[in-house]
Parts: sequence; C-alpha cells; structure tokens
Amino acid sequence: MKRLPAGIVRAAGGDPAAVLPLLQALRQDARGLYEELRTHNSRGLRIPPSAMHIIGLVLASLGSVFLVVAVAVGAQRGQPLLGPLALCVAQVVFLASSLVGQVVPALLCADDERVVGWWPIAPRDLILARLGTVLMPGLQLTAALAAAPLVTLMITGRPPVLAGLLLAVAVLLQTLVLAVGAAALATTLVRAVGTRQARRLAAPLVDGNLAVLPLLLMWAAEPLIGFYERHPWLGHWLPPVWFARWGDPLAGPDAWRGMALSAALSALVLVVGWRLATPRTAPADREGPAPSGRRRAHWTDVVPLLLRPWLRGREGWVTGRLLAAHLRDDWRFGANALLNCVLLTGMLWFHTRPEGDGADPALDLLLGGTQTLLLMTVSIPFLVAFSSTPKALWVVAMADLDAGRLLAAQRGLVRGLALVPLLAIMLVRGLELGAVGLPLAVALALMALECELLLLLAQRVQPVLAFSRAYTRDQSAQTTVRGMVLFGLLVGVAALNFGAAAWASLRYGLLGALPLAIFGVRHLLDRHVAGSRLNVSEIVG
Amino acid sequence: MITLDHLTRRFGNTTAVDALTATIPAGAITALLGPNGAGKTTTLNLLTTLLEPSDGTATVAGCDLRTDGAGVRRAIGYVPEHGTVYEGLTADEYLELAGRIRGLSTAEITARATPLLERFEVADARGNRLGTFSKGMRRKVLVTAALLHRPPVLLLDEPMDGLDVRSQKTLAELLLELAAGGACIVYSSHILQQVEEVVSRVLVIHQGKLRWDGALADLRAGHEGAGLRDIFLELTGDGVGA
Repeated sequence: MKRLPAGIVRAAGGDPAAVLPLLQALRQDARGLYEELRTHNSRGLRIPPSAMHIIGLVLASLGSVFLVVAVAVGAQRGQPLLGPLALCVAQVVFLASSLVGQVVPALLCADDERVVGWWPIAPRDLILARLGTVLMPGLQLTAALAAAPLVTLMITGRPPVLAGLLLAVAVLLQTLVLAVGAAALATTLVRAVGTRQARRLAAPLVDGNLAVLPLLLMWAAEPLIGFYERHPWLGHWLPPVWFARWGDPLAGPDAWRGMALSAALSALVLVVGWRLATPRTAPADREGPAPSGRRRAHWTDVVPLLLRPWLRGREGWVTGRLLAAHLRDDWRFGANALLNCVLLTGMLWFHTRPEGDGADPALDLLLGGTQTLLLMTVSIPFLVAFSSTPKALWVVAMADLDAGRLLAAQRGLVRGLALVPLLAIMLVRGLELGAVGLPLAVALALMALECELLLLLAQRVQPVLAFSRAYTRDQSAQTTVRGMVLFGLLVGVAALNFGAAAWASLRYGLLGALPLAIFGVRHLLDRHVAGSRLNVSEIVG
Repeated sequence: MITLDHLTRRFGNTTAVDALTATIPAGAITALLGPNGAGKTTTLNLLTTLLEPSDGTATVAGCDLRTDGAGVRRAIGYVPEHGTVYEGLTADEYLELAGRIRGLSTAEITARATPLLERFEVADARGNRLGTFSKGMRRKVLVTAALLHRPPVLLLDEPMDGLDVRSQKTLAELLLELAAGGACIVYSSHILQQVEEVVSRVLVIHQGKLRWDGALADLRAGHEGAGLRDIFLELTGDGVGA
C-alpha cells in the first residue's frame, strides 16, 4: 500500500523518503495540537478541526441535492449544460474558499523553516508534504459535492454514462488546477516579497474571509449583471464554463472548444504551477534581523486616541494601545477587523435604503439594523480577541490588570468601533427615510441596548480577554461554533425586533426590559470573572 | 572540519557577517563568542544553509555551502537557539521524524535516542507532547535529535540556555566525549563562564568581524593576568583589531 503514495510523490518530483514521514508527522502534529488544546481547555465549546471538515462535507452533500435537481431539470428542459455548469461553479466556490483558507495559511503561516530548515529536506519535499495535508480534504470535498450529480448525469446526460464520466474527469482536473494554482500563488508570493510581507498580503484571505466575498459581490450584483448582459460573450471565457462543457460532449463545436480550453488551462497550471509551487531551492533572501532604532509614527497610533471616550482607566488605555499594536503588526487581525467593519457599514447602508420600502420607515430602519446586528455577532470575536504576542502578553500580565474592567474595556472598544458608526448611519438613514423624533430615537436606543446585551452574552459564552489568545490552527472552527451560538441568540433578538416594529407597546416594553437584562447579565459576568487572573488562553477562575 | 572563506552576509545596508575567514578543526570544541548582535547566529544560519552567503563561502565536512547545500545538511547536527519544534508531536514522534529523514530505521532511532534521553533524564517524558515541555526539556530533545545520525559536525547556538546545572554538566561531558571521538563542534554563546569549561579554541566576532581566532590558552597567554571577561571586553571594544 505504501507503493502508491511513494509513486505519486516520485511522479511529483519529490523524495518519498522525506515527504512521507514528514506528511505523517504533520498530521500527527495537527492531531496533537488539537488534543493539547482540549486538555488545557476542558470548558467551553471545543470541536476538532476534523469535525469541521466533516461539517463541510455534509454541507457539500446537502448542496449537491440542488445540483442533482439542476442536472435533472436541465435534461428535462433540453438544457443539458445547466447541471454541469452549476456543479463546476459550485465546486470553484466551495474549493476556492476551502483550499485558499487551508493552503495559504498552511504554506505561509507554517514555521517549517524554523523547525526543519537545516535537515536534509528539499524545499519541494516540504511543500509536497504540506500540500498532501490539504489535497486529500479537497478531493473528499469534491467527491461529496459531485458524486450524486455525476450519477444523475450518467443516467440523464447526452450520451448517458459517457457525459457523466467525462464530467467526472473534468471535475477532478478542476480540483487539481485549483489546489496547485492556490499553492503556486502562495509560494510565488513568498518568493517575490518574502515571508513576512506575503503573510500580510494573504491575511485577508484566511479565517474564512473568502466566504464573505459573495456578500460583497451581492452589493455589486446590479452593475455586474448589467455588464454581463451587455457582454454575453464573457460567459464563454470563464473557466468553469469550459470544464462544464465536458458534461455535454454532443453540444458540437462549443463542447470541443470548452474541452480544449480547459485541457490547455489544466496542462498549463499543472506544469507551470507545479514548478512554481514546488521550487527545488529555498528562497534566496530570507528575512534579516528586525531593523533597530526608534519607531516611526504610524497611522494606527491615532486609533486609541479616537476610541478614548470608550476606553477608560488603565485597562482601557492598555486595550487601546494593544489594538493599535495589533493593527500595525498583525495584518491577519487587521484584515479581519477591517473587513468586519466594512461589512457592518455596508450591510446597514444597503439594507436601509430609502427606495427599499418607504411605507414604514421605522420598520425599515429596525430590520436593517437587525441584519447588521447579525453580522456584528460574527464580528465580535474578531473585534475583541486580538492575536497573542507574547511580549505584549507578559507586560500586561505583569501589570495585574482587573479582568472585569478589561472585559468592560473590550465592550467599549466594540462600541467605539462598531456601534457608534452603526448608530450614526442609522440616524442618517432614518432621517432620509422620514423617521423623525420619537420613533427614530426609540429605534436607535433599541439597537444600542440590544448590541450591549449581545456583547455581554458573547463575553459570557466565551470570556476571551483581549490580547490573551493565540491564533491556533482550529481557531476558525471555534469561531464558527461561537458564531453559531451567538447566531441562535440573535434569532431571538430578531424576532423581538419584528414584533417591536409592528407593535409600539412591545417596543416600549423592550426599552424597559433590556436595561434590566443588561444589568443581570453584567452582574453574572462580573461574578464569573471576579478574582480571575490572566491566562495565556482564557480567563481562569 | 569547517573552513570559512571571506564568508559575508548582508541584510540591506547592514553587514551582519563581514568576510569571516577561519578554519575550525575536527576533534575540538570551538567557541563562537561575541556580544549580542555580533553576528553569531547569522554565522550559524549560514553554516546550516538557512541563509545564503552574500559573498564568500565555507565548506562544512568537505561540502561547499554554495554548491552542495544538501551535503552540508546531511553532515551537520544543529541545535538552534529558538528551539522551535512541531508542538503537537511527542518527543518520540519528533525523534522518529528526525531519524527517518536521516534514513535511519525505527530500531536504529530507538537504540540511539534512548541512551541520550536517559542521560538527559527525559526518557520518562518521551511520550509527552513537545508543547508541554519546558525550554530545557525541549532543548534536550533537540540535542538528541541533532545527534541521532552521528554527525561529523555539530553546531550549537546557546545550547545551555534553559538547562539546569546538572543537565549543563551532562551536556558539557557529552560534548567533550564527541570532540574526543573526532567531531567538529561549534559552540556559540555569550556566556563566558560556560564556554571556558569545555572549549579549546575561540573565535571572537564583533559587528560581524573576526576579532580573535586561536586557542583559548593562547588567548589567555596574550593577556596575562586578565580574566576571560576582561579579555572579551577588550576584544569587543570598538577599534580593536584581530
């Protein structure tokens, strides 16, 4: 059984004696890190990265039901390309977010050089091993997504069986093209600009941020659709269309053109991309020692000053300085924070447009605000949990700061970064919608109180202190779980807002009840962290 | 044996290692001394192929850094200062990886690692993950991994850092045994007291330049009556030539 992987490694230009033990060690390392995390943090929600992968597979399988319908409906209506096209596009979306989210961090954020850089391992072998850890999940995802639609195409395709088999080859090719392409881009980036800069540039792509890109595209959908309608030929030049043509070999010249283009693209990416992704030599110029001397002023120095009204006391001062430091030095955190703020602003702006529904301005405003709160719950973990820099951590730990006041400073941070802009936009939009006076004030007050309550609940679900958490490899998994829990809480808030928009009595009732709820949750939280000390990963009692 | 031939490394306008030329013999422990930022770690990074020279070259166990990097990596054992490891691996898994990459069988790895782990008194913890190890325990595992393939050249960057007194003594004895067996050992440090107990030769570098290359006894003889610390301060003072 060892001959097959050894043969694949050899065919890829690697040395099986180096790649296979390394691949095994990397898997053991990932497993060990998770076990370590579980041992040290028995409380709270902890699910292994493998479970997240299984969730991804289940989601892909569920998604494939729609693709099966597309294949069947397409065959019935005489549009055989519909199903294959839907499959190829879905595969690109699923795999791009999955692979870029895994390949890029795996290649850029791994400390392999510092662990095995002086061992007799060629750079190509190291990258092959890293690729090996992500290629298998990629193929599994493809299988989960494509199996059912391909079987359907084997029955309904034209011709049956052959169309399905050909599309299976196309889907496999597309998977390899995406995986090798992502790896080639990542390694080329490293070689071109160095590891430190490459990590910065790749920061916006990791932590599942790619998943929100379709949302950004949605806002630009109108002009994009208009452009496409004016230039319909554009569709023929998109690679997923080329690969989809394999699913209908009887479509004449179109099919042959698509198959030829996709085959050419695959050959190009696999040959050139493979060479770029797996260089024989290490980058010529690694990072030098950090430059010494006095630090120059940076735009992030202004951030704590702007947030000063919401960051009080020693803990507030420390939180503000650390936010600035992380925005300056940790582009991964900066990209996440910035993207979430942009999303919040965008959501509110686009979903409370005056032309949306002028009949009931208060309803528009409240519903728009509710949708923004939905995103805010996802954003909170990013806004409050900075990545850990040990130097900062020790300085702060030595300062013996109060855990309760630190959590309060974090809430102040979110108020300054997200809630105040949110309320400002709501105010402008409310005035544009024609909601003035008391209804506007009530809507704004409700939103502010709900945000405060959600923040407190978020801190109770996962009491993570600012600057106290290191990025771990299962971070995205934990963030997703916390996001899901908070999403559940938000569903209740959203339902209340629907009711509040319809009935004034509920609106005023909420205004009275929310401060009490906030007081109660804050009391619980303060009691929970009373006497707590800083710990590397979370508050410990 | 290691031969440095005008070995130079620049980072932008900064010259971290400036035309080092020296010969480091086999069968001896040679100290690489210098104050913080002198270029010691950069020199070791060059000798371990982690960095490419800007100018000049060096041969390690007969392999040229520029033309035979793979040969150099096969010939060396290296204990880095930072001690980064795959923290999810147990000590056993890490040593298994280190050994298999060097072409050793599992039986050979166990046979070679066990006595070293026992000598360093970490054999009981070999099934634990490295992420749970203290700095000193991790360093003992790194030393063991560096010695598994019995390298002719051993490079150590601040090897005593984090070790307790007993372990420091054990490591010093081990290094002397290895040198007696013909190994070429480079010991980089800025703590003079630790170095003078084990080394026979000294290279002193300051601001990337070589300030002294010779036997420790000659160094002492040339500065009669002065302690090693005073000699070191004199050599690493600005404007003092080799």
